[in-house]
Formats: sequence, C-alpha cells, structure tokens
Amino acid sequence: MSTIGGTAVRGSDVVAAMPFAAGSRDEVLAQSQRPAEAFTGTDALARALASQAPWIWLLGDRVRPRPDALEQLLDQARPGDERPASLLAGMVLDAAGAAVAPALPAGGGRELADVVRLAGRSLLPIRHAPFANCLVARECFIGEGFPQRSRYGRYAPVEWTARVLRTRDGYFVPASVVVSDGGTGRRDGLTSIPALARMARSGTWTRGETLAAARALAGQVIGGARAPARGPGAAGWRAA
Amino acid sequence: MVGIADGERERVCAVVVTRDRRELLHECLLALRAQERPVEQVLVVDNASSDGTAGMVRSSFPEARLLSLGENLGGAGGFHRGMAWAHARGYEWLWLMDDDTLVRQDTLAALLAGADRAPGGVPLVLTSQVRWKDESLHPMNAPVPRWRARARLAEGIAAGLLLVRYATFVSTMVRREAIDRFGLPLVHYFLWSDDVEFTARVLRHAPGYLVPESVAYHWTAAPHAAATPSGDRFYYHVRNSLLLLRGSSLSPIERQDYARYLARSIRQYLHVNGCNRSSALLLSRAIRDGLRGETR
Repeated sequence: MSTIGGTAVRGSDVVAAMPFAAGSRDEVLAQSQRPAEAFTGTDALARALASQAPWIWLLGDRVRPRPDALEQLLDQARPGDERPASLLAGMVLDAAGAAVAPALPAGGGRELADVVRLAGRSLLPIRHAPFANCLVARECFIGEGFPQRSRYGRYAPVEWTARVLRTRDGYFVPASVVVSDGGTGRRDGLTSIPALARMARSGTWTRGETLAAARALAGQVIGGARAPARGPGAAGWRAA
Repeated sequence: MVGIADGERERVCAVVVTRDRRELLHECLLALRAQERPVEQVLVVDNASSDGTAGMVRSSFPEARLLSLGENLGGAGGFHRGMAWAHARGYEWLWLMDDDTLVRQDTLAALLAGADRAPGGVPLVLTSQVRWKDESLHPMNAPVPRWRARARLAEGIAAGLLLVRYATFVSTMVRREAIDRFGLPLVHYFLWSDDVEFTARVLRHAPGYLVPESVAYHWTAAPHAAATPSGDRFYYHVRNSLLLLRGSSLSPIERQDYARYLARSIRQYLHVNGCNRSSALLLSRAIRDGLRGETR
C-alpha cells in the first residue's frame, strides 16, 4: 500500500495528477503509486495515461486529501444497483470545514427519480466538475481526448467533464473529502464570447445550460467589479 | 434534537385540508392514525363540504380536531387557517397535506429523522418524496433541486438530503419559525401555486430539504401535472403563476425560469385541450386577472 499526500492508495489502481504546490501555477505534478516515479511537467496527464492505471485522480492546487478520500471515491465506482461511474467528484472543504462552492461539481444530467433515489444514498448525479477532487476513468481520455485549454481557457475542465458526462455517468461523492489550504483558483466560468459561441456549437450542452452560461458571462461583464469566487482546481490546469 | 424522549419531543400537528372527498379523507386519516411516530394532533380543515365529511370525522376520528370553515376558501385559505390555528397553539412542526395524500407508517418518522441530520441546524421546510400509485414520482409534486446553491446542495447530499427550492403541500413539514419570519400562505390564491409561493418565499432565505426515505402518495385519478383538461383549475394555475412572478418569492433569474415553465404549461394545455374559443377565453381571463392582480 502506498500513499499520495497522506492518502492510502489501494493496489495499483490509481495515478494522481495534481498541480504543483509551489512555484508555477501552470505546472502539474503527477505522482504514481510508487513515489520514486514521481514526475513533473505539462505533459503529466499523458504520462499518467501511459501508466495504464484504470483511474486517474485529478487534484486541485494546494489540497490535502483525507486518508480515506480515494477509497471513498473508488467505493462508488459501482454503487450497488446504480449505473457504474466513469467520473467521480468528491467534496472540497476549506480550513474551517465549509464546502468550497467553485470547487464542487454541478448536479444534474439524470431524471429526477434518479436524483431522489441517489440522494438517499448520499450521492448526486453530476453534469460537470472542476479538477479539484476528481477521479476519472482512463477510457474517458481515450474517448474524449484532453481538456482543450487553448479553446476554453480555465473553463476547459468544466467543458471536458461535461463532454465526458454527456454519454457516461458521474456522481458526486461527498464522503470523499479534500481540504483546501486556501488555493486561489477562479470560478470555472467562461471568460469570452468566442468561448461561449464554441460552447453553443459543440453539442455538449443543452439549450438551458448554454443560456445559463450566457447569463453568467453577462453577469461577469456587467458586474466586473465583483470579486470572482475562489477555489482550488481551476488555476494552473493546462492541457497536456 | 427531535424525538429523543417523550418529555422533550417536539409536537407535530398534521393539517389536512378537505372538501367533499369524504372517502379519500377517511383513508388519509387512517394513515395518519397508523404513524409509528404518533402525531400529537390531527387538524381537519373542512372547506364547507356538503357530503357528510364533518359527521364522518366526528364519528370515526374523534381524536382529530375539526375546523369547519363557513365557506370554501380553497386550498390556500384552508392551509392559511389551519396553519394559523396550529401555530397559535404552539406546535413546533406543521405537517401539511391535502385529503388525497396517503402516507406510509414511517413517513413522519423519516421526516423528523431528516430534521435531525440536516446540516446547519433544523431546517424550516422538509418534504417527502411524493409518488403516484404506480410508485413513480408524481409530476405535480416533482422536487425542484436547488442546483445553483452548490455548497449547500453538497452538504445536504452528504447528509442524505436533497436541497429543494420549493415544495407542494403534500406531506410537507413547516417549522413554526417559518411562520414567525415569513407569514402564512396567501388566501387570495384560492387554489394552486399557493404552496409553491409560500415555500419559495420561505426558502429564498433558508434551506429546505426533500427527505428521500420519507414517502407519501398523492392519490389522484391520474398522474397529471398542471396542464389537464380541468377548465377552471387551469385558470388558477395561470393566474397564480403570474401573481407569483409579480411577487418577491422568486429571484430575478428564477422568475425567468418560471416564466418559461408557465409558457410550456400553456402550450401543453392548448395541445391537450385544443386551440378553441373556450381555451382562449380561459387563458385570456387568467392572464388578465394575473397581470391586474385580481383575485376572488
């Protein structure tokens, strides 16, 4: 049994990729379950995929996973009679124990009956997620490629996970907890009208979701004096 | 904490509003009597029934209190009066339902268990998941998850609760403090959307949750939503939706979403009932009265 950041890792199932804790916010540190093979670089995701691990655990800048954080995610990969998950997103708390909203996934994507039933199991179907505490099946990268930061900027993880979850299932697993040490990422919002236009044309989003993103973008433009919400997981993520 | 010991148990008053559905009411009251966590008081609010409802309640359910209204005030007026009655007598929880609500033996216990584990203290509103006879979610009472409040939604899910934006009066519990702070349902709504307006008003400022393991059945003839070939009733849906949009229970963005929902329901109504003179008259009256704020 090895550990990543103090979290026990079961077998050889998972490779963790996390932003480098200090220095450049755009660097990504990928650690394998064998610490001697830790490596850095903007192609860390490609290296993580090359490890052949079936799951890749994406962690935000300056987060500390609780010892059972990974175990809790893996336990819900096949949650009883529910559809198996390709993506699992966990809870992100601040030092005071409060949930960090910008670092949390967005719920939705399933019928209300599913939402109610899953809530009774302390799970939530999700529509997209930031890379703050996010366990992703390797086959998602094979199928959808990498997040496209050049097209979507900081919105890339949200766009990518939404694309993944268009045809796969994902759950929010609040029992998996990482604590943010005050990472100062911005909310994963669209930052430009061209990005919004690409979003509208992509086919990934429903009309309602595109409208909501347009309203949010308009709010950013009109209310530019408001400080953006901060949270880990968005800053420094660069497509490999 | 709720329900620790008899001496400390918080008191629950079940408020059941009825009108001319004696048989359904009888089944509803039997189910309330069978609660594994007993209800301290059942209050039946009779909207001037003429089918022997009052006599049935007195003879078959002597433990229930009967509040007979001299005229039909609709669901809104019935709940307003019933909630005022229970609030004045100090009940901590008001458990609200129509006479066509059937609860399971553990419905109340599950709601109170949800109150115990809700994050951040006791919530002001808790609601059951409402099903039709075939066990599917009843479309008239479908929950509206509060998707935008991600942190609070996440904390609720961690406790096995679903954060909701509003609820219907079909097995919904309201804390007395909600009335202290936000008042009672609006009598002039008469029928439909009074529950949405009231709970939206409360939950704009406080969390409310659906408790998944608390199940109730809405025993309608068919699992319909708002748009049914029911003539006068759809008038109230449109009029009251416009009143709701003109009020302050919803945020500006929520009003946009609700307006789109209203438009969809009108299209659905016309699809079901046809674009004819009768439909046009009903809709024009409802829109006129909703925009003018004219009520019974």
